[in-house]
Amino acid sequence: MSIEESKLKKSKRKLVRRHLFEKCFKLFGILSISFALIMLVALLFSIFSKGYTAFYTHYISVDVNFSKEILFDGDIKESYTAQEIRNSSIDGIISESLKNVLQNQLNIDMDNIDLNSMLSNHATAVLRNMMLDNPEVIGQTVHVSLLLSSNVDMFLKNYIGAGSLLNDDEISAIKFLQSTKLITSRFNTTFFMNSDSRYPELAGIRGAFLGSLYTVVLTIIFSVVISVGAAVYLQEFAPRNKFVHFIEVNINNLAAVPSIVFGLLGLIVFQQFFGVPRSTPLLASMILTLMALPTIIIASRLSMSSVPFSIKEAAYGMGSSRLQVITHHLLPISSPGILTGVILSISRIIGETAPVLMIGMVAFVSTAPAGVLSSSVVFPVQILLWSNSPEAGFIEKASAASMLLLMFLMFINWISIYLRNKWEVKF
Amino acid sequence: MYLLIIAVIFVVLAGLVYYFATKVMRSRQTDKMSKNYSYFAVYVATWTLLPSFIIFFIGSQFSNNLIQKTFLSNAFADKSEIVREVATREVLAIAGSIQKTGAATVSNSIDGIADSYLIGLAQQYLHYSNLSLLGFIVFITLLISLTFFIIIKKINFNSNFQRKIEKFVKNILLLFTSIAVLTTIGIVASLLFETLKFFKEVSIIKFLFGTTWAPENADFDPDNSFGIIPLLSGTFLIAFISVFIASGFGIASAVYMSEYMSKRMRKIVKPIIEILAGIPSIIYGFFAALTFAPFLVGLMSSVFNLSISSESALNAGIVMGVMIIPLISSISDDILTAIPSSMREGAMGMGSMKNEMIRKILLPAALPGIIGSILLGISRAVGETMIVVMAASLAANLTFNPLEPVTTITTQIVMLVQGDQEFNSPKTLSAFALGFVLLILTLLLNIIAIQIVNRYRRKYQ
Amino acid sequence: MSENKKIIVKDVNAFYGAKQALFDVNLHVLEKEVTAFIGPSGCGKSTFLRCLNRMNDLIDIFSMNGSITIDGVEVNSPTLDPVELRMKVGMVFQKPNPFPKSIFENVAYGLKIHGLTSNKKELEEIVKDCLERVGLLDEIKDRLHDSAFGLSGGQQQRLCIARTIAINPEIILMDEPCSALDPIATAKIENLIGELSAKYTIIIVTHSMQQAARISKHTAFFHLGKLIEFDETTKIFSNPKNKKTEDYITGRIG
Repeated sequence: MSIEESKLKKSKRKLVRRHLFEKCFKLFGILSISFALIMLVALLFSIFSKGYTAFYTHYISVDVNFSKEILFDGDIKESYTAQEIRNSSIDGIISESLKNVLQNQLNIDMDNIDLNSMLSNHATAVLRNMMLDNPEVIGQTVHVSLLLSSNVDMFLKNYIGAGSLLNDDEISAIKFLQSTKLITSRFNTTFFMNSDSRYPELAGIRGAFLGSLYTVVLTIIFSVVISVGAAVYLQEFAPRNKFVHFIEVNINNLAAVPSIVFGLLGLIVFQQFFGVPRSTPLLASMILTLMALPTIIIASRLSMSSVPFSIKEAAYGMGSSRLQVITHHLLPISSPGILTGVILSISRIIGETAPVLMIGMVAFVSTAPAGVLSSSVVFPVQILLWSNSPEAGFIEKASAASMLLLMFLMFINWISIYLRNKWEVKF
Repeated sequence: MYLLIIAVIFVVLAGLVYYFATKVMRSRQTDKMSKNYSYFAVYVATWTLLPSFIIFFIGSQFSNNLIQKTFLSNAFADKSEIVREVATREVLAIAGSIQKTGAATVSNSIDGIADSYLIGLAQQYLHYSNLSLLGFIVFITLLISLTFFIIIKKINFNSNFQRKIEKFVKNILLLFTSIAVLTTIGIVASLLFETLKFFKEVSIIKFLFGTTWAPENADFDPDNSFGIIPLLSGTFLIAFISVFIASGFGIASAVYMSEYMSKRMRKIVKPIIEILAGIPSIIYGFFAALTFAPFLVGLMSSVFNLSISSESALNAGIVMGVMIIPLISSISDDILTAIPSSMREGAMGMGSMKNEMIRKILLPAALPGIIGSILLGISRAVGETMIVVMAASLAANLTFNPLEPVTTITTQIVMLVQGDQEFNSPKTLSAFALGFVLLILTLLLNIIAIQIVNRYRRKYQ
Repeated sequence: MSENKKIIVKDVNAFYGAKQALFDVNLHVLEKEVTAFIGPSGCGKSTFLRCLNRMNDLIDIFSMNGSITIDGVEVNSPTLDPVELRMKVGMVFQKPNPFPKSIFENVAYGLKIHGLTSNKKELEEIVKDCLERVGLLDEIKDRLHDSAFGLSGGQQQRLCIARTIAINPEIILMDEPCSALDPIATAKIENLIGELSAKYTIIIVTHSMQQAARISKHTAFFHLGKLIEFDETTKIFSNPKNKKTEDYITGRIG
């Protein structure tokens, strides 16, 4: 056997090992991609599976007897003042009506059940308003639907089992009520119509939604005006000197500054120095504008620089002024690119949490903000507030809010891709 | 409503000024091209309205404040300061409700002051503020007319108004551009200023080299409660775990996508992986704290028989790593695709396996760029806030064990600033010192990373 | 000279997606001889060349049918490892494409990945020998460990040839190896091809008829994906049978 042949033989033997290694190498690549995809699916699944239940909630339909005996502690008259109605013992008639339903259930020890904690505080308010609006109901029996408390709701949605929050008797009572179809589930309008609340079953996203809406609208206005202006200046007017180069480097570096630092800047400069009111959408939008600037400026410049010089030349040749060239040709042609940049930065801004924490947008605000100068929270902060609460009801709300935020971001992304494909002009 | 009325008034005034200016120009010159009229009119309108607008804006703020301060504090002059403040706020709220709905509603009654008195004050306040608004509108209209006539009298009708407007616009645009620079100056100046204040209270040496971070002890031992070392170790421990995960999986995915996948598959998979980059960090934090942490604790104890804290560095690090995967994979992917395909052909033509071609030719060539992307990833991880606020601990442990809880710079900043707002306590000031350290760290990492990536990009272009 | 048919090609059709690039190509290549493929650009000669060592496998949309055998072994057989095939059938590309490594590493690359030698000294000898054979050793003796990008275009191309012959192939495919080079470098490569043909079977794709005439024994003329004529070079150039060949050679098409 010649040397050549032995070498070839060795090489052939090595080939088997090389093929094996190639397979492992490929497998590792597939595993890596799968890891990323699995984490994505796990994240989405964990949020969606916990969150979708927040879109419905449970009510109980019962006959409530507005007994004067119980309501007014034996003080029976023809009519009552509003003040008396306000002070009446509504809890008493609620527990009475629940007792009526449950009375034949021998296996349930009624003394062990905290009947009032089964219903939401909202139920008391509903009954009170019924009496205030229509005093004739006092003394009558009315069939009403009342919102159940978060604990019961969570048990029905399998979030919590038997244990510290509900005792065995309460659970058998719930199961009985469920089996007799007295408990019904309905679409949770409260979640969309209310703002934050101390009670999970009454907490909603309206306040956070409006807070985010005001903040984002203001941010869009500020950042588009400033950054398109800056991009036009840098692209069309700026001399090629050191100062302009410095500005460019600056813009790029600004994009890398951690968001929390922008929050500190806002705290010191806007809140302390300029006295912009704390916790307001105005203050938040000022900070977020600064964060949005680099992205929009860079995207706008990129888009403007792709406008062919021949078009500008043609416009100048027709006697257009510089401003006309900019407003008639440059901006319209580059607007899809600018729009993409705006959407991109807005989708980042909507989820931005750290900087708004710095300016105190974490307060508990139970009313929807009236305007850009009233205290409010924004969507991601609402998620943070709820997810820090121990009640299962708030965790469910936090998941639902995350779900809405994610769906909105996906929607926005889809729009940006759609618009880019629709409007893109190729030269 | 209020704002709308003012905006309408300004628009109407602007239209009037524009109309009259065009008229004046037409009466002066008949031979010029019509184009110049509009430039002239815009020029005149700008200079007529701008001063009035500024005066109006400042004046209205000032007058409202004046009414509030004098009228309302006189009304409650006999009350204590807190009551005065609360009552003032309530009167303003009532006034707001009157303006909005027409009905006066008292939401919070104040002890010692009758509701009716408050409503009366609110009505009076509205009366005054309406009066001042009306006065302002009259004043502004007069002012605008006056400036208009002065400008018309003084202006040189033969100058080139087009160029003047262009110059004006250019200066406005320059102002917008300089906001970017002003932001940087603002960041550096404000952080530096507060940091220096902090170092008046706490020695810089103790801050940079101290190994105990316990701001809760700041009141009795400020010098020894602000040691940044445990925060740095925690920050970098989490950052390294996350970048380790992200670079391993990120580079491997980039290689697989660019070298093995068909174009069609790649078009589907790449955007899906990039979804990870678009998810807000608060949602990652939520996932890390509520889903991944219990899973990891269970996994570690059942499979590896290890006890791991639910606020461990590993938990936050892995989730953060997932967030950074797209950053590293997309930069690596860009760099790999920038390598000319003749390299691949050369290697394949000699009978290389794909992995040999990738490992021996592509990756060494792409190495600088990939290192740049990893540095960018570290910088992202160091500055990341929400994941660690939700999933990492508050306890500043000086440890490199990923199974133990650690805290980070950003977590501490959030905790320190969120608490009490005494701006001169060393506790709050330390947040700014931490912010300054964070800024320097991330900027350094970024500058180096961008240098490396750019130098690499130029090589093949 | 043997009349040994090294490569036999029968009824090869090739496609890029739905577009057909080669139509029923039939030819054979003789051992230890230079064969040239000529034709206007886009005529399929490069595509055909790349079928011979299955470089087209790297293109997703490529497909082909027909049979290509080398030493009686079917090239497209699924059991044949393309890695082994490419070890046997080396390739030199149009543009010099040295790896971003040192000159030495470039030549040693193939030896290392195929495990042809584990001995450091032997490796060095083979590398030097290969560089010597392409006439590069004297020019770059002291720069052996410098980056290969520092070489001139012609040197880079000779380095790529050295890289190819280092793994001792039987066939070398050359895809317009001189198109990016100046005349002097071209002449050097042509001489080198002549020397190498004593040991290797060489197939060269070229758009230069003069080059084909100078260095090849047999020439194949391709036009629009079809093999128009295949014969001894002298016959093709002096007495073409086909009208199209004649038009091309006289400069009327292409």
